[in-house]
Amino acid sequence: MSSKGFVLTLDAFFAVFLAAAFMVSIQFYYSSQQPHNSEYLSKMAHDFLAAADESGDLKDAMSKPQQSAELQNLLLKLPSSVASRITVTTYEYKNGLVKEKSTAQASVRNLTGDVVAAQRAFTSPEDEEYYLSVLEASYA
Amino acid sequence: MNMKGQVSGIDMLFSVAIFTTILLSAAITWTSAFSYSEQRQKDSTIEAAAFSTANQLVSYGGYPDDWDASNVAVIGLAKHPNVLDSAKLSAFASMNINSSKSLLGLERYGLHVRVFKTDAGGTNVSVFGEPPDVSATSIVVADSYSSLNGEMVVLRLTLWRLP
Repeated sequence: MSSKGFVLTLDAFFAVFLAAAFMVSIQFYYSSQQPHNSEYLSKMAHDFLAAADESGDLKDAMSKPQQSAELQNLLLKLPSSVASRITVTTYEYKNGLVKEKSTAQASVRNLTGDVVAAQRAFTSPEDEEYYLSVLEASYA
Repeated sequence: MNMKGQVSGIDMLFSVAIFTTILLSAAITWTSAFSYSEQRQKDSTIEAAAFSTANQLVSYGGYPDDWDASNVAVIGLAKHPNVLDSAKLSAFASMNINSSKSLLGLERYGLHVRVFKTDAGGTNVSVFGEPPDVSATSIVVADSYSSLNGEMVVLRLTLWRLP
């Protein structure tokens, strides 16, 4: 057996393997491209919190005894392709100090993959309370 | 007959076959990746146009501040960010579709804007333009949440490539 021929055959197999791996990786890269973009989801989350604040829906939810259930109803207004979780922390102003009073949380569908977050603060001057809402969202 | 020459011929045929197979596979992969990339580029252009226009409509009040269909220079539907102005919404709905598209820089696309409530039925508040028909391609939908008269609404802007 010619050892020179054998070495060349190994070279050829190695070259074919590299070429195939390169082509498969190109195909894999393009087929795994996500059509959704997290920038849009982030914008949607910010818009949603702003609209919920401006419409009074967030204050309304926090003024009810079943805060988590009300927050969950609010999240159901997001598209069904979006998983979300909202956390609203209530702070109160007392004797010159701001301190955490309670936290309410609700979620719709499980967050998966890339998760974006938006936050918005709002106040309720009549009862000297201050709220910080954080909305996390991902494509379901 | 010279056997050495025969073996070289078979080797040659075999290597040409492998080389041709690899070359064809590479060409097919390259063409498909290139056309996919080109399509994504076109799609991302129309996506960017849809999302930035929806953002412009719900975030800005336009120019002049109290614009109407007769004097509008820049279209915006908000009193302040994420709070829609019902008067501007009515003025926008009464505008000619071509002049609206021209002011929004969307002459190359089909445009449909729908503002609806977030109730179970998605009650329409305002509709502008005709929705895309079956021949439309590259349809992009951009939703923006806003408040209108103390109620949460969605501004849904649909953009598509004209044939």
